[in-house]
Amino acid sequence: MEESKRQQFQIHLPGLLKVLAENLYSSKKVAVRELLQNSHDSCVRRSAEGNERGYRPRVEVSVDPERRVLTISDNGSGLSTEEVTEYLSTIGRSYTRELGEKLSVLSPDEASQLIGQFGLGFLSAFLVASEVTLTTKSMKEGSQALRWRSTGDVHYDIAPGERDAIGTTVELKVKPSASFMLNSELLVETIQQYADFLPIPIYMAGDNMPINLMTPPWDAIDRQTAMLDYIGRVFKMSEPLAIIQLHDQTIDLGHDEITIPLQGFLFVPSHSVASVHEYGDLAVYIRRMFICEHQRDLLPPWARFVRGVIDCPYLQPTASREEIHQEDMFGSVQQALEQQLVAGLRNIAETEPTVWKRIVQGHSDVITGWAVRDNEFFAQVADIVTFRTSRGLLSLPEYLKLTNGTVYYVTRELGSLQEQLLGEGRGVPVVDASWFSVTAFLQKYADFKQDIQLVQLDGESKQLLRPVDADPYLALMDFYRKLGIRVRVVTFKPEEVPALVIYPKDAEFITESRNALDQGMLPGPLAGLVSDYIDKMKTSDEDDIRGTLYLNASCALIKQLAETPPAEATRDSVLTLIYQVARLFAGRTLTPTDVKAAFGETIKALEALASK
Amino acid sequence: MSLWNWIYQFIGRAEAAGDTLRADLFRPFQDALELFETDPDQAFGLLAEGRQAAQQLREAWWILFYEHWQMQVLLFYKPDLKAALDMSVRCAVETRKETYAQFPQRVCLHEDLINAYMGSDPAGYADQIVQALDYIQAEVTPDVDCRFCLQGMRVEFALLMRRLDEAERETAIYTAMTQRTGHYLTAAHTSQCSLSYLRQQWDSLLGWAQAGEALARRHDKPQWLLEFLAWQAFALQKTGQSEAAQRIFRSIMLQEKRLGAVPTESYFTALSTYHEISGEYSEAMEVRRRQLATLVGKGKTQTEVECRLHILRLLQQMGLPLGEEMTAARDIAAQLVDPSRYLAEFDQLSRGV
Repeated sequence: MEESKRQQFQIHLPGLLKVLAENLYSSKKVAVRELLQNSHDSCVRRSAEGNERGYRPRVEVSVDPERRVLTISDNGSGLSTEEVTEYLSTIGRSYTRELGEKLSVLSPDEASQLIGQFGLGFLSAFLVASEVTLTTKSMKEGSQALRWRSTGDVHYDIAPGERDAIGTTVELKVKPSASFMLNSELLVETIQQYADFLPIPIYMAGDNMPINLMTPPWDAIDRQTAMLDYIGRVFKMSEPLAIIQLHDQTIDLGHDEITIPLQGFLFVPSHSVASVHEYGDLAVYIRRMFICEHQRDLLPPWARFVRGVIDCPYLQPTASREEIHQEDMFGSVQQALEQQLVAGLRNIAETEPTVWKRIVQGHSDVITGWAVRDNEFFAQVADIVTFRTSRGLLSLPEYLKLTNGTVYYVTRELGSLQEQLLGEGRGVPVVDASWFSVTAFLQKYADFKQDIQLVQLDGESKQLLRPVDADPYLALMDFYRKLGIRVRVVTFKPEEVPALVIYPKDAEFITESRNALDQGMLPGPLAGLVSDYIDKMKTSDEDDIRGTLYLNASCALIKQLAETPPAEATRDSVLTLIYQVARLFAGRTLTPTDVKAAFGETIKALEALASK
Repeated sequence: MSLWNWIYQFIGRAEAAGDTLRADLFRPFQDALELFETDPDQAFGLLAEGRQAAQQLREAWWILFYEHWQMQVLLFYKPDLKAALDMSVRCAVETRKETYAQFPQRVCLHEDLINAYMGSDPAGYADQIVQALDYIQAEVTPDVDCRFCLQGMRVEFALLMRRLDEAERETAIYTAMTQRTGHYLTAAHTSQCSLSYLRQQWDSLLGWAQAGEALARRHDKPQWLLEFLAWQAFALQKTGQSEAAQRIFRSIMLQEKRLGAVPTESYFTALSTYHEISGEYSEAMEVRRRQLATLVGKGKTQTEVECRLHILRLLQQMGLPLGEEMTAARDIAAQLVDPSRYLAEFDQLSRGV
């Protein structure tokens, strides 16, 4: 092969413009943000470089629905001919970034206010516009007004423009697909979403009052009211349980320390509806410009009962500025946030115990879920987190006072009614441990406190039954045994309940699996593996799987039936009714056919009773 | 429809309907996925939360989606085969229902059941495992990732059964078919390493381990990275390159501290034999003891028996009494369907052979 030649990439500019404009951004609304940001940076530049006393920056926005034109005008620094060519028409070259680099030495305050950096923002105009016209006059002495025009293809035109005042006006000929831009209400909403906190006033043409707040709530004179207003307006929530205001945070890097500039606040909503990532999110601003909402990676994973808003210049936006890069300083900002959140919550726990209790109770599912994974957090919440019990929400210390150091719980909502009845019958409330983390929490609590006994009632309800001498009831037992029903006589409370049918823990699954295997519903090779496992499952007594009828010797009806001669015609019907009702009440392992048969038996018994 | 297409469409529909709870159903999985190797307990908790959310929303497919991934954590990262086996049986029974006839992850759930048996007692259930793999083969279409998992299982089974010719054949297929993947190709390299080790082909072992290391780093697989490094240390030591072996050994110690998941069985084997061939029996014993601690009560019966066998051999080499260790090993072996092979080895050791 001949010696290699160095060649240059060829760029198809219209294609690149189209790709960048249409694929870089996910929402057309960002075009407004990008143009407002250019205006803002231009005003900052004029403040920094212009040395003009009494300079009052402003941005004005107007729409002309008839001409389909959106106009954004500022009294910033304007652009010279060279700057238009160098920066406006060179993709990827950002004047703001270069200005920021210059200013960071001479005027760090102004430099820190600059937002742009990629040199791509202006492209977003073509998201919404078929034609962009920019008229500008630079603050540089002797500058003439210029008019720059492009339809987003490879060409642009520059010509002398008509403009007396220093500044820039951008006119967008709005595409049909972006007609919403011509709706003043939607436009104001968009401007407020992105630029509410920009310190430069933005006016709708003809209005005397700026449409943006200009001051973020954390800098407002009445911060508390401003933050509550923000929570209501942006998060659509009211009455947060707590607000933690953020401030700069020094974090230890091991070899060094770094101070992370942080502004904003975190808050705890009044309650959680569901656990999974309902909250734990932040609205993110960088240098007062809104970047994104629902950012879920900045707060620690356990903080799903917290929401908030932050402004941190150390966060790095992506090129589209709709997301945050998760590299470099991201981890440090995460760390700073976690430190402040932990300190804030600890402070609440120590100084406002009532508020802390309300936080834990309002978010108990989320908090138990995390506490089982984190010992320190567990110690903070162990005694105040509340659980659903058959007597309403109770903390464990409150619960244990009622049960003498034993926690009775059920792990499934289905079928728990019977266990709750038994528990309450003995005067003990039952904890609903159907939420995945509750059992683990209870176990951890028992290990932590010691001398606490845990009793899982589903499948183990027999613990609440007391055996009795069966002799007086042999005739009743005989009746059931003849029907193939496994029966025991015990006492339990409440005394009004004559009988219960109790199944072992895995009875339903074993029954279901056996039915599936018997009916050939599992593919052959898999069926063998399933069958092997089912056969090995703990079945201390095979008959247990079908359930055991426990007659309550404390119940007056059972006592009366025990004394009734077997020949008494109504006795058998009543015994049948008792069994079927107990079976239906237990509700387990019943197929629709079983239920139908149970009702059939019940009706037959009732008819027999009625005919007597 | 592939699994990911289904998820993509489901989330899209939920978002369009403004149903944020459903639109968020995928998120716990995304969060958990990043933690499989670094913090499997937390990953499992997140998946449990996802499952609970699916249950609250009565989304049957999502419940099984989360159970499948919980099983993956139980099978490969915690690992806890007892819990995995129980869950996989329940899922297999559940999948018979008409509701799941079109569920794209149905095959994966069946694979979980086989994996659970392969992890606990592969020899004891060999026939059923082979039949089940053949059955799944017929279910898997060439356009889904399940074909990689299935081939990986065939390789793993052959290796566990020490059927080396079969393992070689299946591993070659596995390596060829996964060339354009990241995860599966790295997995194929772990199989190649195990095969080379069993064949006592040290140069080949070193080559596969080095290539595997590059893949594990590229695809961020710290659990397998550790395994590849341990194989390299062993192969280098075995081929007389002690200095290089020691250098790698030092980096292994650093990597192991960073791993939250339990290292693989091959890792312990490679590391222990590295010490053995260096004459460092107590270090080898320490590695096997660490491995044993991860196995006790977890239902990896065959692996636990083999680990105990290694410990007994080391004790014998060190001239120490076998006593209680032998009793414990026999007790565990008795849980296998057919413990005869191991009992014979224990008898030999007892006789000092």
